Amino acid sequence: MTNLNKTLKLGLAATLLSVTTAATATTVSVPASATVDNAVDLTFTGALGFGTIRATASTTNTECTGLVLNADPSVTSLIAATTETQFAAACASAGGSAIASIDGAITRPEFTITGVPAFQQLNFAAPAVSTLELTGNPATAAVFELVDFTAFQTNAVPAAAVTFGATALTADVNGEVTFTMGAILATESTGAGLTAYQDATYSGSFDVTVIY
Amino acid sequence: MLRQTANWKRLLRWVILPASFVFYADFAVGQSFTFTREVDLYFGELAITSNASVSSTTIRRNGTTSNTGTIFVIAVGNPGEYTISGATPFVALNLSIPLPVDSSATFPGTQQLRLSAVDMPSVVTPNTSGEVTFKIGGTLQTSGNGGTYLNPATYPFIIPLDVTF
Repeated sequence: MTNLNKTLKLGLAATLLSVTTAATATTVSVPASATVDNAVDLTFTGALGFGTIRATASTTNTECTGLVLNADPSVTSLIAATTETQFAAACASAGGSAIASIDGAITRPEFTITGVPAFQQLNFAAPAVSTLELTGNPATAAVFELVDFTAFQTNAVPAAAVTFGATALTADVNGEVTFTMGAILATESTGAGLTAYQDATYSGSFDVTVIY
Repeated sequence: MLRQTANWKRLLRWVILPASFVFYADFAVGQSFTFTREVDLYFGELAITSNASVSSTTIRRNGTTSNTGTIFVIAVGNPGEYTISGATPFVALNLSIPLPVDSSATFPGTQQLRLSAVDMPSVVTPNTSGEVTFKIGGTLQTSGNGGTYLNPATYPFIIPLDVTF
């Protein structure tokens, strides 16, 4: 009988202990969240425009000439290309080619990046070499070449030319970047057998990619 | 705001009162409280530019933030703010969160974010009205294994907050 009482007491004590633990704690669920958005919102207005030009393509390879449209908005006129990297590699000499601006009505595309972290540095590689062509151009017709792209960050402090690469652009305190672009318009460098340029508008496009 | 009532008063009495009323009377027999979410914890809008190694972002309970690695804050979030009411005045409540807590995003193919640390008071004491308000901040980590985080997407967490008294 005594043993039974002891057992009973032990059992009761154990019950008390477990109830104590359960009774002094409770758990509530607390929701939280984080939003991930790795997109870079890149928009642009305007276009890269060289105005009206006179141009003649050479029928000899590596003979070409070019006009530089500086990305810096404070530069208001086209200048002759000289030793820029891609231009110099393609165009050893002017030879029979020629290019000249007539009206100087240049335009630059203006790009805006939003939605990135404040002061974030962005990777901006130079666009690939592109061409400006006449719609329906036969394969033997001369085209223009867009080379040596440049960019100019207008909301940098101070505004400055962009050095393409992993840290080319730096967002401002609002997570925004604005920049303009320029390039060299060159007569075709692979000119053997080309027909002459037409009096028409030559157009094309180039891809701009900005990444984290 | 969502109210959750932890009310085990009835159960408590049923189980223990026959055994020892006096023993439990000293600390809050019938202790129950209401938990109110004033503001949910939000880590903000993040850009995770690489998951090749573990990166983290922290929002402290005072609202300040910091980051490591390749996680960046596009829009700053806020610490969570919570109120416990209906508790026994001046009886301290211990708060703890069992870590880590992984997010519970259900998008296919995504990595989960991990709550690896919290910034919160470990003990709070209800005032004379049995009410106390406190904030919770924390640190989020990426998995760092090269896996993908989808975007734009919101990664939800359900964090268990243990309250003992």
